[in-house]
Amino acid sequence: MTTVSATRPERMTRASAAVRKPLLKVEGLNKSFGRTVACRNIDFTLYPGEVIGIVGESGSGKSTLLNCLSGRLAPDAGSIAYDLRRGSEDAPLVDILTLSEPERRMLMRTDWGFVHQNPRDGLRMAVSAGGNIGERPMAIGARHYGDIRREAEDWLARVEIDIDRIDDKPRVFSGGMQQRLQIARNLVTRPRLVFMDEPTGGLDVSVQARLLDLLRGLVRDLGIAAVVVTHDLAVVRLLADRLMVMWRGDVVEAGLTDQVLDDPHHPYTQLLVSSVLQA
Amino acid sequence: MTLGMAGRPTARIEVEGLTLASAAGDILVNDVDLAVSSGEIVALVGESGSGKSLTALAILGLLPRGIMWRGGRVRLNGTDVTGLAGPHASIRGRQIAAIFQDPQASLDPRWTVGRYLTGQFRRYGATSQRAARAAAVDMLARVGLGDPARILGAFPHELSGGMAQRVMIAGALAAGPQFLIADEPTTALDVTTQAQILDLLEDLQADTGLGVLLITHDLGVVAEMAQRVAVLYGGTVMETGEAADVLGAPWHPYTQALLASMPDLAQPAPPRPISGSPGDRLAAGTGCPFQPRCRDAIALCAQRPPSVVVSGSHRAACHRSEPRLPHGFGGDKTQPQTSGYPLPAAGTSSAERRHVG
Ligand SMILES: Nc1ncnc2c1ncn2[C@@H]1O[C@H](COP(=O)(O)OP(=O)(O)OP(=O)(O)O)[C@@H](O)[C@H]1O
Ligand SMILES: Nc1ncnc2c1ncn2[C@@H]1O[C@H](COP(=O)(O)OP(=O)(O)OP(=O)(O)O)[C@@H](O)[C@H]1O
Ligand SMILES: Nc1ncnc2c1ncn2[C@@H]1O[C@H](COP(=O)(O)OP(=O)(O)OP(=O)(O)O)[C@@H](O)[C@H]1O
Ligand code: SF4
Ligand code: SF4
Ligand SMILES: [Mg+2]
Ligand SMILES: [Mg+2]
Ligand SMILES: [Mg+2]
Repeated sequence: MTTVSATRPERMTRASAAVRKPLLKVEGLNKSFGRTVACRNIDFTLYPGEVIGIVGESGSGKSTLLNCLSGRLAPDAGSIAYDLRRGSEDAPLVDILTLSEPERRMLMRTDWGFVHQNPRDGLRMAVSAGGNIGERPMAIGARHYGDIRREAEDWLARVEIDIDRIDDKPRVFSGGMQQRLQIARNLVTRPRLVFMDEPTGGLDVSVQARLLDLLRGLVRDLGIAAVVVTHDLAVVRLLADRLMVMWRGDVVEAGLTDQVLDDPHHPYTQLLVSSVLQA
Repeated sequence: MTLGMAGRPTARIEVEGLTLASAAGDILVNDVDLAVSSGEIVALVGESGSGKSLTALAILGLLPRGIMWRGGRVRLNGTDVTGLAGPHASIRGRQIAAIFQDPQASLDPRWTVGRYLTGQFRRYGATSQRAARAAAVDMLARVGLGDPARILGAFPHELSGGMAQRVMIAGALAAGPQFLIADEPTTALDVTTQAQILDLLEDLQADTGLGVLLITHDLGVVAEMAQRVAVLYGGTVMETGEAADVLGAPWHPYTQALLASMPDLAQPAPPRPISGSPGDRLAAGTGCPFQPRCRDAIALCAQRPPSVVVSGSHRAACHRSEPRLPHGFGGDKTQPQTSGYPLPAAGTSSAERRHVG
């Protein structure tokens, strides 16, 4: 196999990561459904402004892991510590599992974004596109209708939805348009951490390329950190600093994205990389 | 009905002049012609919002409320089945199966997978509950879902995204359909699982003569699977022909730009998106829909472009096709500036191509 060279010319060096304070630190996370072990002993650390990619076979536990990380699903064991920046800059990380329900909901609306695998789960289908985007700004205090509307227009343009469609409900959008609206709805408040489950699934290549540009720009300019589940290795290459490979509930391989893809060790990763390069 | 090579009648879906509009009167699909014969995989590709799903829903007679039929016919094996419902609906249901873009929404949340799948097999011929269950277990294995006992007992919300997508594929194939309309059937699947599904479709194509209309944004999948391609933009067919011709020697500026925007794993550069946005298009009927974004546009492009023969069945709807045609006639094809999508070498089996067992 020919080696594939680094693809992100402007990638930041993360040399300082070791001394920086983590944003999210996950330890010993386990989650089973009956006999099905969806996540087994997962450990990892995410730094501010960093993007971690998760790839893996269908049913390997990727969505379950994201749901646990974002407090949407209670793990059976483990801790998920997040930098709430409560009080001072160097306040200790807080286990999100110890937060009250309202505290967690506030976190979801302000600090975090969640882009669902299925856009229906992440959109209010009965609310207009503009309303979908305006909801988060309003939840954190925006009141000026004109400002909210302008912001919504700006984000529709960024995800390439015609501004004329601002009053349409997502129900009358195509699949790819729903997906892009979901991304706009989540990013409008510039969260510190975004969880994304297959954000570019079902998007045509040109729109996908632009969306990736947009996401890369946001990560770079606003320092947004992200955990991105995808089956598309090209997306991983462009977006993720580090990569975790899941297989039947385990993280079987992890490391810098280019290292993992150029020199895969686990048989599943090898299969994954070879099948893409063959296609 | 036309006669196939063996003198057997060839089954065929034909769409002619399909034109659909929104309630507000915007043309969403404009004069689309499309045909799928049995044993053939035809890909429908194009920009998000270009009308792919609406075209599929029109063929199935399942257009959502608020979409107006403005013109065109759909024929199934020569019989006109145009319209929303009526006596043809049941024939169509049995002969044309469908996989929709949104799997979880197509599965009833109150039903276990077992109840759904055995129901499908009973409806389409299994004579007993036991036979239906056996058929369901068999089909689950073919879509790569081992542990059938767990899957059959599961409710849709207990499945992962890719599992739900495969359950839906299993259900669609239960009818033993002549045709399958598959709208992004593998988007939720990792590449190895995707390869298994694509192999299954290819097997059915070879063994039972299944004809497939495959809607996908993955041009790699098109290159591997499809014999023919239609490229849509703004509800209009921009280019159509043999997959090898359209992807290997794209003629239309939109197809060229689309191929150029593909992310390339082996290239140390980010993909180059097409400039402008999908919203920038001329209203249907007032000229070439790609005009606002096209680098090659000329004054003439404010008029509707003719569909021009590039060679054989390869056609493109572009004013600029005409001046370039003379180079393409008389045998060898003109090389367009874009290098096309790398097609798999002829003669390699799909298993070899994808390196999965
Ligand atoms: N609510 C649930 N109840 C029971 N089992 C579940 C539930 N949610 C997930 N599972 C199971 O856990 C396993 C992991 O599912 P998960 O959705 O995390 O997979 P995934 O890696 O996201 O797969 P895909 O790529 O197909 O979306 C699967 O076997 C699934 O059936
Ligand atoms: N129920 C509906 N009512 C009104 N307009 C609709 C409806 N469904 C789709 N449309 C519009 O028709 C156009 C074509 O939509 P369609 O779903 O066919 O796109 P598509 O090519 O399948 O896109 P994608 O790749 O994003 O799924 C879009 O502009 C969409 O907003
Ligand atoms: N907006 C557009 N309109 C028409 N065609 C486009 C557009 N964008 C890209 N293309 C097509 O995509 C192909 C590649 O575009 P690109 O911008 O890379 O041009 P290029 O001159 O071929 O660059 P390079 O020499 O670096 O490959 C071009 O051949 C062009 O036909
Ligand atoms: S008809 Fe004109 S605007 Fe349309 S693709 Fe051809 S050159 Fe471009
Ligand atoms: S010669 Fe043909 S291609 Fe050139 S500008 Fe005139 S019409 Fe357009
Ligand atoms: Mg998932
Ligand atoms: Mg669609
Ligand atoms: Mg070029």
